[in-house]
Amino acid sequence: MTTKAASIRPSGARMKPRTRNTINGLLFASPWLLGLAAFWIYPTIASAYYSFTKFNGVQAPVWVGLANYIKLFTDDSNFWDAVYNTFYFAAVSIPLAIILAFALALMLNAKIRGQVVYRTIYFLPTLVPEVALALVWVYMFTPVSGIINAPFQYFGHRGPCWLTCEAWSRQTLVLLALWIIGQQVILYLAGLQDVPQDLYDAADVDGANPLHKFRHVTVPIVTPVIFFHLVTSVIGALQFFAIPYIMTGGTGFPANSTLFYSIYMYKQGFQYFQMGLASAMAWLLFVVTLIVTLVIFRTSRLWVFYSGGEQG
Amino acid sequence: MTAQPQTAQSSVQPRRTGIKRKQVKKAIRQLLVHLMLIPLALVFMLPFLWMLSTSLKPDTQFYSYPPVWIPNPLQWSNYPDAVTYISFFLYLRNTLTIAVLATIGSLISCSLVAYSLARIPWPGRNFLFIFTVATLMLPFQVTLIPLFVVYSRLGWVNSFLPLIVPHWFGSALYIFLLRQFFMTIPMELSEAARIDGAGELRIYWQVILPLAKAALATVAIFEFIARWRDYLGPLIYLSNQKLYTLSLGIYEYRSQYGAEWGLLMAASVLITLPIILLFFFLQKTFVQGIALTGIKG
Amino acid sequence: MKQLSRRHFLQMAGLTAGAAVLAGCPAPVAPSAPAAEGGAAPAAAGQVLEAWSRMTELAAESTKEIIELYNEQNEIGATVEFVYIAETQGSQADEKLLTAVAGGSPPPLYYADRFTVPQFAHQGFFSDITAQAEAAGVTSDQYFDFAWNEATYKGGVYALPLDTDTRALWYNKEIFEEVGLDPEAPPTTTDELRTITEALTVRNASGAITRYGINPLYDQAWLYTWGFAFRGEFQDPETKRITFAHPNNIAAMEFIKVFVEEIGVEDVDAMLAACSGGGCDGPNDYFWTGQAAMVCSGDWKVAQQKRYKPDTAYGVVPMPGPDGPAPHASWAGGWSWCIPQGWDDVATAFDALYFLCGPVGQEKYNKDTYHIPTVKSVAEDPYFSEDPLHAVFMDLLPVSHSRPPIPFGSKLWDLQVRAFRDEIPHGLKTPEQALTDIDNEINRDLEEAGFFD
Repeated sequence: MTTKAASIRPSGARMKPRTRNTINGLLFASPWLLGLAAFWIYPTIASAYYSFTKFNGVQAPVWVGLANYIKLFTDDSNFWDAVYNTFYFAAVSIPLAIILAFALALMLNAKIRGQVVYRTIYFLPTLVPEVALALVWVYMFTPVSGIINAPFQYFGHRGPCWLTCEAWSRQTLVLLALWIIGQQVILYLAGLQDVPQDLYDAADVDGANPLHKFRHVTVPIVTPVIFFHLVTSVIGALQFFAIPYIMTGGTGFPANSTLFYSIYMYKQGFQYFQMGLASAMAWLLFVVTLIVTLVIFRTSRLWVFYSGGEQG
Repeated sequence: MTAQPQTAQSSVQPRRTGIKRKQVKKAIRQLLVHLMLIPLALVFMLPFLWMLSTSLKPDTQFYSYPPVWIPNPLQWSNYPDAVTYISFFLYLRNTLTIAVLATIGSLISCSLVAYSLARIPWPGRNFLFIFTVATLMLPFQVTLIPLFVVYSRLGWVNSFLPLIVPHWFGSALYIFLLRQFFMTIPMELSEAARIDGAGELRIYWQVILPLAKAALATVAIFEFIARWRDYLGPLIYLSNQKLYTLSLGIYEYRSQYGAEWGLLMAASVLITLPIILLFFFLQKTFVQGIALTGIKG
Repeated sequence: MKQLSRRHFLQMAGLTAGAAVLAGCPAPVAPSAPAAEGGAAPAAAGQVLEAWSRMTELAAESTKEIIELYNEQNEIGATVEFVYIAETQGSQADEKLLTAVAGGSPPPLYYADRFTVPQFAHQGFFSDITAQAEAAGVTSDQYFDFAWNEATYKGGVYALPLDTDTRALWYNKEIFEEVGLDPEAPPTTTDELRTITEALTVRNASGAITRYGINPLYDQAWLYTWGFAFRGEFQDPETKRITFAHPNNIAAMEFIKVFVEEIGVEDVDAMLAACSGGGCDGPNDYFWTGQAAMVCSGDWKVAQQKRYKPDTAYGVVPMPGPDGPAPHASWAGGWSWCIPQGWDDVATAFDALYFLCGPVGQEKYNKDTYHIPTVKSVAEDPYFSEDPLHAVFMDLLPVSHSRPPIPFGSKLWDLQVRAFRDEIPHGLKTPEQALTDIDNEINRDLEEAGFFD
């Protein structure tokens, strides 16, 4: 049977498996390799070059060496505010997002009535157009007339000040980010479909309790998704942009507490026309993200379980 | 004669109560899940409900204090007005064209690349994988201008090409995502197919893709929504109103000093509905997956 | 192939049309002739000129009509096409324009917030149109000074002003009557403003304000407005240095700090938060909903009032100052049209530009939209003063200021917003400290950019 198959594919038969795999690997990856060459290499190298120049986005860049980097580190208090806010957001929102998305997915995977409706509802906020969503949120969180504080008002209290005071603003943004977690929930749901029923059955035979089944059957199978979620949310959180931008217009109000790294970078580039400085910020962010991600990749061998049989 | 049914009965009895107890347990568990899901569902519904409510409000009730949930009168005319105020159906067609073509391209290209990274043991794949993830780490803000220059040189500006074609060459995020799912499919399945004489393309098409339906559906939903809602891409690359998308059109309800909030919200509801429908349809794949992946290597 | 032939056809059609016009009128009629005579003659028969603009509603409709008029009337055979560009956040960050100019595909005509013109000119995003303006006989004294100053940079003309706006105190007469105040006696001094505000304010059980007398940080009440009301200055006319820390500006901000504390910082913030993201634009404005009895705002509210609240009685008076009415608190903004850098045929584009921003275009545009013209002769039209409320804003024109026309207008705007709405009311910095910091930062930027040279 094997020899017959090999003789049908003469090219495959003559090649060593290693060579054949390399060729196949490159062939399957070729769209992406071509795409990188066409749409990625030039913009990336260009932005790296800009980071060492004074460049307003249009006129010819002027080489300034490390000046942009030095300025960021030594002479820019906004930069450090943005760094702090961004790290705060990442540190608080990522664990919460993973726990919440996973928990919701588990509940939405339970065979209950109205499963489809529930799933749709949890997905809804991610579908609302940003302009409308920003407006709705702004309205809902308005300290006096907003619907969230309405119950407080009813009992004669003011309620939290949400986005208007430094004590609450960072937490409020974490809350808003968790609100649009629907996509991540879908991801875990897709991952949960991979849990083979026979593993649960086997666990049942062993008399395992639900918690035990969760820890030793469900979690390991979902670790590839957790890994994906963790890595992409580190990248996403460090580039957190859309929500604070549409909610505050990028003012950083109050007390610079909503000024995030990407917002400040965007303002530098497209509002103050310091594209060189913005590029330097981008590359600093790139290096930091890469380091964090590589650490996660390193540890993944210890906790990510691929049922395909390979180590991550 | 009499003893037999008795023994039969006595042996059935405990089993029945066992089933009953199991059913009761199951019912309680379901009830608990409902109890946890319902209040949270209300919270997650709030933005959409408020949008729906506002879409039916006359001009001035938006910020009323105390808040108005059920507008009086219900301004149904916001809906017909919204679709005539801008070229709604033209924008809808453009948005659909871009979203559908980009999604098809992403599904094909990303699954091919992910297959290479997850299923073919070739020497450079780990490096390419990390490299792929790394491309996500450079924020879009600083590559916007050079990327525009690339498309400008290609003569693609002011057409759908920059919004569709790149997606046929793969997206790092979805390559990463599909790779994760492809990795969980037992290698023995591929080995068995290889022994049967299948080439990689056939294994990809006949073995891997059917087993990764849930993941592919996820990518389809994510990419479709991303293109459906994309604002910056159409803003930068399109300068002909006949090519505009809904995400640009929605800004036409705003003006220098004001906005048609009711119309904007009505249009937002209309824009959201097609994706809700898509989601409904694709949900089935999230249930089917179970039966298919019941094979354990 | 198909496209090519169509363009070819259009060019042919344009050429013949142009030729026909030339043949039909051997002696060009006065108004649009100068453009053709000036240095580089427009050579663009059949050219399609895209006019990029974020205008919607009335403004867009009016502009499209003006463009139609131009397309029929112009003698160089150019066709202008209105292209709506979705509005990004505010008027200052513009990735659309920047990418288009960088990619070498700029539009011939671009609608720009006028106070950003010096900045865009400094960066080299806009074309110098001085020669074309001179050739067309455009002179600075045709336009109001404040508008012309914003459209020029280092002696060059980079845009032509279109419309403008002024600022004053709006008040709701019905709420005045309701609390027993004389609806014909609005506040004239800042002390009166404080007393009247207290009388108009309504709080609920939690102590939160449900009706504001005025929110002194809302709408058009900016650092500039209060500074001008206290006769402060923001730029030294001699040295051109920024002078936010002018003693009168400091006094104005000290007043603001006290005033905001009286009203309650939390409540002032709450309203600003509700209105961030444009939520209070149009019908949801706290002033139109009756949740604010007074507001510092502009002339555009006249048109809004007719639309949203035609049956409620409102009054408009100059802003109150420390020792009496302060008409000089008003500052004028507005928009303009310009030609982005990289569009080669500046002469042809200018022909259309001058039609839009010259007397012809301005008259129609400002009448249709009920904005204020920047061409003096058009502003004299009694039409603009017929409405008694609009007349108040027209009267403010001669005394209105403009923001310092410097190449860092956007950054300066951000800094003043932060100082005015955040640092000063929240006590993060003393008024003097906050204002001095602005001066230091901007003057340093100006120095580095060689602005004082």
